[in-house]
Amino acid sequence: MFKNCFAVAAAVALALVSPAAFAAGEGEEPEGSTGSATSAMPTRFNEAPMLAEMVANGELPPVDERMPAEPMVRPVFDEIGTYGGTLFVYHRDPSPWQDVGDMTEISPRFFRQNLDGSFDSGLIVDHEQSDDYTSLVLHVRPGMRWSDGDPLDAEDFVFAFKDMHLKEGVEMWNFMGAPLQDSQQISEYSFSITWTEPVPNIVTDFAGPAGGAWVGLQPAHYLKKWHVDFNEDAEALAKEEGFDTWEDAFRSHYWWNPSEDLARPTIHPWVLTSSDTVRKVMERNAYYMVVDPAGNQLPYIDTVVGEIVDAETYDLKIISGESDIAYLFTTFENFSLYKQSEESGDYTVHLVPGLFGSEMGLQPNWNVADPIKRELIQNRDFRIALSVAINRDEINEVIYFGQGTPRQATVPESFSVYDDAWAQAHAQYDPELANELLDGMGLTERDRDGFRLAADGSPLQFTIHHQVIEIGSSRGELLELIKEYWEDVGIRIELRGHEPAFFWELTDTDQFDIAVRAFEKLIQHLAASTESNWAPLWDQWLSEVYAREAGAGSEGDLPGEQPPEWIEEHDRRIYKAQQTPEQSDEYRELIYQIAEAQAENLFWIGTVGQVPVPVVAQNRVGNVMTSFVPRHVWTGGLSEFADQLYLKDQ
Amino acid sequence: MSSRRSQDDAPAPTGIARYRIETPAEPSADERGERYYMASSWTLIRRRFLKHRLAVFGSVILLIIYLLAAFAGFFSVADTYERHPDHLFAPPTRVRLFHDGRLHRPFVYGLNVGRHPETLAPVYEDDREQIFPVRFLVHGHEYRVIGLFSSTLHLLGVDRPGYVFLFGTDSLGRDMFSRVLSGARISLSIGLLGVTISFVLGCLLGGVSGYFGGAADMVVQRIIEFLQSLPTIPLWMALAAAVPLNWPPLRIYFMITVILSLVGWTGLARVVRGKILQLRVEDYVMAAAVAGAPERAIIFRHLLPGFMSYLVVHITLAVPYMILGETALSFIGIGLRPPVVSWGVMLQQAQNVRTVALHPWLLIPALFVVFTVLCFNFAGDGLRDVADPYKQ
Repeated sequence: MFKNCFAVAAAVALALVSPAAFAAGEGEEPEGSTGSATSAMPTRFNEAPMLAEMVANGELPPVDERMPAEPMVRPVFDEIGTYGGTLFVYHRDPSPWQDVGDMTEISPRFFRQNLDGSFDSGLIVDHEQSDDYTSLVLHVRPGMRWSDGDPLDAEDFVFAFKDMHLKEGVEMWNFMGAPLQDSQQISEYSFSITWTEPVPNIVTDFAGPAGGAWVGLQPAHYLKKWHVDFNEDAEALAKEEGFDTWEDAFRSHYWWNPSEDLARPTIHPWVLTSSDTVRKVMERNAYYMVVDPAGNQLPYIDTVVGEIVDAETYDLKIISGESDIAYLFTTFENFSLYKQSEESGDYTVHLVPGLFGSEMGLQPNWNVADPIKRELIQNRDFRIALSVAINRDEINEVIYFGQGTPRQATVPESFSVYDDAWAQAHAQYDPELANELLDGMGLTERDRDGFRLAADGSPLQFTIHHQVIEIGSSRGELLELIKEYWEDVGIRIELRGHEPAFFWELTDTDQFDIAVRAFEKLIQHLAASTESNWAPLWDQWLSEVYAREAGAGSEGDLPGEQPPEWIEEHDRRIYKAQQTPEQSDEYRELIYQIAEAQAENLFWIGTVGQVPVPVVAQNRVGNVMTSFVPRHVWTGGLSEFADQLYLKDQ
Repeated sequence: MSSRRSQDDAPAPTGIARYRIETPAEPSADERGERYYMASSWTLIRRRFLKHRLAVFGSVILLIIYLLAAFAGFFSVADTYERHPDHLFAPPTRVRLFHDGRLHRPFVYGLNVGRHPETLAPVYEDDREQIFPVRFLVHGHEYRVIGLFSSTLHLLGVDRPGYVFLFGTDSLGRDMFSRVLSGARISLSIGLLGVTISFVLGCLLGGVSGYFGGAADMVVQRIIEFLQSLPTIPLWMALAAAVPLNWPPLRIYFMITVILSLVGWTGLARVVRGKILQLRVEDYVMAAAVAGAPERAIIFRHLLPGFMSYLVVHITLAVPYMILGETALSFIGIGLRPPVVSWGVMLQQAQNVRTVALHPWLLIPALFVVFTVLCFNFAGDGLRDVADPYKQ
């Protein structure tokens, strides 16, 4: 069985070519990680002294009974750790998305993506995908258990997909790229899932949060009694617990915030044992199904204590050395601050290579209502002028201390398909060329303040719309710089921040001139990096066309506006790529064409990308996570490796 | 306020004084000194105010701050938006008098700029070889004097490549001193306008309501209740959505301030009404009415001065709220935000650990806010004390 799973993983790994990925971390991977673990497979497992004591007292079954015969093996970053101790972290709010928090990202996944992009088995040891990519049969690793000791089998997965995702009244997040159609249990350890559309890259998705506890599996044995399909008296039970409907009661037990029901079993490395408005305490999960390459059951650390503090206190706790590890809310603009107290705080600031294509992407609206602006924005020269008017080297120096990469908006260097020409396209600083291009478009007349007038002599002003940015953050400064650069070539610019809900509404219309995805960055994940918000009306038209082609959609006139042919072709390529396996040549070809089109047409105008992310860890903490799995563009992805952290002073 | 009103009732002496002279109900007190009692109330107010040292001090400082703001271009050493990319986070430049132990005319040293190899923070060192004397009345960047005409004359400056950043520079290398001065223009004007509008409305409608009672009272009170029952957050959200998309932030802030003060007068109006209800049955008011004083005179001359001290306190307390509130609505996009330069914005930018630990000079705007608020309070305190000149 185990051999089998690695054969699959190896096949996937071979197909996924990503030569430039992960310079950092790769060389330091210890023995026993990934592939070599197969031969060194331990047969008996070691456990934490605290658990051994409980076993001796008869409070727990022995470790070999708590673990699967073949547990998941977690490669460690630096070395095999030692057991024990308490990790102190600081939280920013009561949600689980915190440094070493109880979030879905910390859960073991269906599959594990290694730092080199290859896949290993996880909760799932084997899978078969149908030829049309719409269904998948998955085989669960046998012998795993929930944190309450109950066996974990295919039923828990089917419960999540069929009885929760597909159940009316139960709110779940999909994360799978297509709507679910069905899920059936085949045997104790096998189940199937079908989708309404092809999902060729589902293995990648299942190596992310979609394949972790919550989205992908739920403790059926625990949750059933609140579910109306399994308990006829669920409504009565809900009333008894003080809820109006069974959905509300059920939700309070399954919802992602585990503090609502501390008794819910989990598969996370730590189990939340107490939670209030100021502090969360997590204790080790005695049934955690992951071991290190030496056969030690993870996690190494006994207890994680998270105290909720505000933004400034969070930074103060870091520099005073009280925070054992911080990576979710550290900001690069605070790099100097962290670095300055490195010695006195007895910690180290690690820089994790950034994966964002551009820290801030500007999207001129091709469908803007004003006909003069629309004509300008659709003129390629105008977009090139805007792009070359930006002094990216200066932005990098001033805002990112020279640590980012000045580049056009495109995929990051670590992406499997990459051409440096894409990053260089119109990314030079050349205000003369910008002026020349703008003059060439007939924008020669200027007003009293030196700003260009439209060709017909009317005043010309563009507004950059963005989500409200915390005053004093580097993103706001970056926008100020862009305003200045563009005003230097004579384009009058206003900046306008909006409350997020209003911003999203606005960027679906023809009412904005230029939008900034202030917090959304150009990321590697294809779907997000090619969003066509730069042409909302065309996007509406095309989306409806696709929906009708798929047999869905509504009657009547198509919404929005019909795009030119070449735009439709470009958009169809993006749509197609989402339905093509990432390992195929066809996918590479599509990505190549999409990225070429972006470099040529500048749908997005990029600034500086690949800015590193600071991870601050006490020197007593070992195996600090210092590299991303490629699909994680959010530092939350580092949480996946939190179980191999250990304390050197234990 | 009463002085302006009194012009309508010429040719009598101003304000309360005329009331005192005309009204027989006022007690005469020969035994306490002829001059004191013959002086007009404004003379009394001035005398007492001048005796209140803190109030005088506060007023003078306020005057100076307002002058600095009005002529910010002349006093500043760099354009508000001019970036010095080689001088990010430069600490305040020390103006020196001694070079090699010898007295020298005021000068600054040149700066060697570097970047700390570990922390990547900019590092500055005085270059003792380079000496740039501080020159007065020099020509520099162009600015407009109170929006009327252009000038390039500045109070002080040094020759390039020297720089004099009296308050240091910010994250983009912009001169903080110049920014503090031009920030004062916005912080000390628009908000004050808002306070004034709600003050005038509050006094007027509260006064009408309290004095006339009956139907007028009924209508005004119902309006107040309606306005007070408006939920604020949805109101702001609606305003934010209603603002035209291409307006610059300053104009948005101006409009929002005016609108918010148009609905923000209700609290004051309630107090004014209560005070008037209480005062209008006082003997001296009855007497004025019996003596045939017109209603306008009774309200503005007899009633309003009766609680002038409260109004003064109300205004002086509103000022700090207004400066600190500049950025309060930024989270829905209608407060002041960069690139607008104001004290509130600069304070907001400086509110983090990074600033306190690495660039404390970015907190200088806070000193100005504290100082200005204190001065307003000193002046207000003095005014309150003297607003009732006959109270011993």
